[in-house]
Amino acid sequence: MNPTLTIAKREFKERVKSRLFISMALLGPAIIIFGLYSLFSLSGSENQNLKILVADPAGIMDNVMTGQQGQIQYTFVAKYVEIEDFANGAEYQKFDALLEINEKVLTNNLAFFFQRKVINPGLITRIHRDMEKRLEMLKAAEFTNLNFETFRKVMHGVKLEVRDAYRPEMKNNYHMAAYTGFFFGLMILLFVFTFGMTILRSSSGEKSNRVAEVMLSIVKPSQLLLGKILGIGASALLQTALWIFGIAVGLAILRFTLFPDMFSAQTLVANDGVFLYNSWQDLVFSKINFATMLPWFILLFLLSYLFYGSIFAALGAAQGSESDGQKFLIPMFLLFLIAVAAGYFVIEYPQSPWSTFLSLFPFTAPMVNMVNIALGIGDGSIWTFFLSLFIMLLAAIVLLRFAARVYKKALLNTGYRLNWGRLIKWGMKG
Amino acid sequence: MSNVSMSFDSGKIHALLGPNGAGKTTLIRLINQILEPDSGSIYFKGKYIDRKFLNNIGYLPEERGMYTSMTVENYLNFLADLRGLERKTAKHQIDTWLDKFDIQSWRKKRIEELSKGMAQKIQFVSTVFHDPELLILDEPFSGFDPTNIQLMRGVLRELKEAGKTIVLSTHNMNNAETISDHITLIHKGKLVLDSNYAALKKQFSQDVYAVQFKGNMLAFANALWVNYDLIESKQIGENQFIAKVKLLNNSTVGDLIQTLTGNIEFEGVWQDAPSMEDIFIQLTQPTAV
Repeated sequence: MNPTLTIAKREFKERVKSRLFISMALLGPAIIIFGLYSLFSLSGSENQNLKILVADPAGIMDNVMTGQQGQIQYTFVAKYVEIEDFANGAEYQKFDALLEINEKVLTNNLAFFFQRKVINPGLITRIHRDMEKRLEMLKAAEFTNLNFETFRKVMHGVKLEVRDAYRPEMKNNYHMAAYTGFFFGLMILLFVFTFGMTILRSSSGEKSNRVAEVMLSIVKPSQLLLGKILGIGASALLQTALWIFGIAVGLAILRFTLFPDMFSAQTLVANDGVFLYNSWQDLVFSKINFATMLPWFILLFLLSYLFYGSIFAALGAAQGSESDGQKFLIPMFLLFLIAVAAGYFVIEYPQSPWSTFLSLFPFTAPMVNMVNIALGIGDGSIWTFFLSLFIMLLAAIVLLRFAARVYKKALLNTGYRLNWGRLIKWGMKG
Repeated sequence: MSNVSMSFDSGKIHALLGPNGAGKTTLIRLINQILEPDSGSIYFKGKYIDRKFLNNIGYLPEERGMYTSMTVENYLNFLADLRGLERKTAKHQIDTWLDKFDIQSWRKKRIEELSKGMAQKIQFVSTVFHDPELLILDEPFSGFDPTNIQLMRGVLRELKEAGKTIVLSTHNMNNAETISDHITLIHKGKLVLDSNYAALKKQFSQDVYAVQFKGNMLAFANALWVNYDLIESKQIGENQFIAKVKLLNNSTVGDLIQTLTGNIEFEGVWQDAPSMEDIFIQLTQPTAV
């Protein structure tokens, strides 16, 4: 067998037999499933029923909002209610929130909403709209001769449906899609950082326990490096596969045991055509296109692992002491934070020239591309995407060569303090 | 290292000596292709040495390192795979060496469970089990108790008789003296001595003889005249002494015996040859080079 593969095989076996690997494979998916279950269960349904107390001493609302409006039941009182009384008074405990509308609302356009617990933003928007409609009614009566029904017709609302120009058939759930990509990007960074650290520890361990000298008397430094990266990479890939499998099984169990009627026709009919699930359940069980996301996730993971793994290997081999490792980990950690921040930036400013740059820059490309894939890469940006993959591959090859030179020069050197100058000199000249 | 030229004969044990920082490890790493020379060449059996020859070399570094979480068997099989040995050959060779050291029972043990001496044996086996023609052993006796040092010396002699070339880098002059056929001394990156052991002894011998006798020390001293220099004397019993005498003016040991006859009762006369340690110190003292 090729020495590189022999080394890779040894590294792979050592990793997958370790307790850390096994516990990560079991605990990782379990934690994620538990987190998702919590989101499914605790974030509540969008059909949450709310009891709202409206304190309207000036009678501005004129009982327009009285009674049940969808999931919201309004109860009016024509007086001020002190916040302390609302918070602690026995008679107010049945209300989920207090909407305070004072007489100045028509001039300062300000009302207050005091909630006992966090209420779904969608429901708050509905309350907001109900209140605005009443105020519009008053203004219409004051400034026009139109009755309210006629006024509503004048105030013609338009729903603006945003679609992708290249795939107009797809509904645009921009933020939901973007943050799904962001989550996949985070998972790539998490795995790359975790297994990058394994490469670093393995390289520095071989250096400090002197097994490197035995190895280098048999194989080339580049073979040792590549074997290590491939072996640990294979174990990382297996870990990823186990996570995907574990999460898939966990989601299936959740879907068929805890939420069995979520998408059934009976449930739909029973709830007047409204699905009884929240946006998280909707996202995970019906919106994420796993068939598209997972292959790209794996490809981007492999490219970024090769890229970052080479840097970790070079740092591990170049360490002159334990403190060197600590010193160089901080910049590495910062790079990962920058990648995370880049993902957020691209979500908020997708058309910025910086977003294109961040998708091409190899340090941030895995995260940014995952976001872009989740949003859907249109024909207009397809070349940027493939250029980005090409740059990542090229950068990974360059860094592998850099790391191999560092390996050759540094693995048997000890008793120095590592600095950037020395590292770059080793990496460039070998 | 600069301007170092040396050769190692097959079927011999070569001691590679030198003070700390002399360049021994650098030389060894150059032979092993771990380092590349700025200039110069290394030949193996007349052919320019390259990585293809690494399987003909067994290298035991001074600072031992092994994958300690592996079992003895897995570690040796891993090295066999790296060296491209066939599984059957590897198994046979590993069995042979584990039997030789009587350590078959350690096969399934993890290396981290072994004592330093035990791990040392495994490291030695990993150095020789692929049957290399050249063995480079850096401090092979360190970590061994006297019994195991004896065992190791026996194994090295067997390997030498089997025609292997053995380069022994050591600071232990006693080991170098006991087992080596040839001494190479490097100092500050330069070759300062390259000689077989017998010639070396002769080269550094200073015509000093030790005389063990019964009698009177004053009579002994008075008997020596212009051709001899009494260097030191030591009383070892009642009227029993050992004295060291340096021969001067081309006088011989026969002349010395003749001069002393009748003055003392001889118990023994032998040449007081310098030890390897004396030679080492002499050659590596600041004034020596």
